[in-house]
Amino acid sequence: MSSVFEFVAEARERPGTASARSIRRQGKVPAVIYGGEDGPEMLVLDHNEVVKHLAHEAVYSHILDVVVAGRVQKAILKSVQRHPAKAKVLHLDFLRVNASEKLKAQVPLHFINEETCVGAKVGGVVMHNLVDIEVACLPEDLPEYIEVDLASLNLGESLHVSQLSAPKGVEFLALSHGDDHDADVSVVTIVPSKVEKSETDSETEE
Amino acid sequence: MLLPKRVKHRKVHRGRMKGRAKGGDKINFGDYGLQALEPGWITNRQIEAARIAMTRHIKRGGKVWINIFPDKPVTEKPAETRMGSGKGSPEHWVAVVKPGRVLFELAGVAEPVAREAMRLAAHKLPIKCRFITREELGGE
Repeated sequence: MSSVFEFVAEARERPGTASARSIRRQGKVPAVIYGGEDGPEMLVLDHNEVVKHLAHEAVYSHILDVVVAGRVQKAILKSVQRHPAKAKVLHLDFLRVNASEKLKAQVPLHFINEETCVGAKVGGVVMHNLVDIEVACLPEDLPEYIEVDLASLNLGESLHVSQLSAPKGVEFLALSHGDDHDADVSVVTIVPSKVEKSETDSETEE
Repeated sequence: MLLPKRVKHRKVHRGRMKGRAKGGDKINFGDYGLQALEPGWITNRQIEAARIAMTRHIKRGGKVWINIFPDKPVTEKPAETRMGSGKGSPEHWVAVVKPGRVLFELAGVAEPVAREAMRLAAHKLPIKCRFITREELGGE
């Protein structure tokens, strides 16, 4: 992995909603880091710095450096709470990672040859049923994204999780439950393009 | 037009629209969405008008999802009627929308086309809306 994200944080003393709100009013974001052998720690981060980091897609599937009082902790971004209507981050969850322990993370899917695939050439529409996938791997093997090649996909065909090629050391959690679970879901489907009925009706009226 | 098949109560209170959307504030199906920035009642006619505006603009291809459903009846008294003598009769149906709610989703088209389609749709609605993409909301 080429880029490294560093989140500089301070320790937070007071828990609770009132404290969190006052922190947000100061242009900061309350956060928590947990997991591993240490106990959970409450943190405060600068809002603008957080927004800058979150603009990168890679930050969601990357081992991050969380710096608290000069001490660097390796973690992944477990969850982000956002304001439903404003571009504000309300809270962050970091999960500490151990180099020797497998972790679970959501990794984005990158679809390539979407416009040039066989199905799209004959007028099909590419429908994404999954845009990210949960993987289990060691921290060093965590991929930034997984490529899905649609070049050979024809109209009406689907690509399932079992057809994706996992990078070395990476396991798709959907397939790890055994054959009893019907977890081999469709990732992408090429559906025929439909013209809305009401559209054609109203156009003929005009 | 969207309306419930069967309801438990024909008439309901108006209610209050304080706060922000409790759910439905993320893009779940498509790649682009139209997000409400104000609270309001959206009638089934407005939803239909917005849908038609969108589908006409994207022409062939693409898929539209409507994430709201008008399940609240609104009553009106007839014109030139004296006050009293009971509540009016149900006239239309509305969906209650709070800030943050994703009203429509769109997939299978390029972003400039989706943006314009959503702009046209937003003009049919009684509230301020904004265009959002899956990446903006932190979904990958």
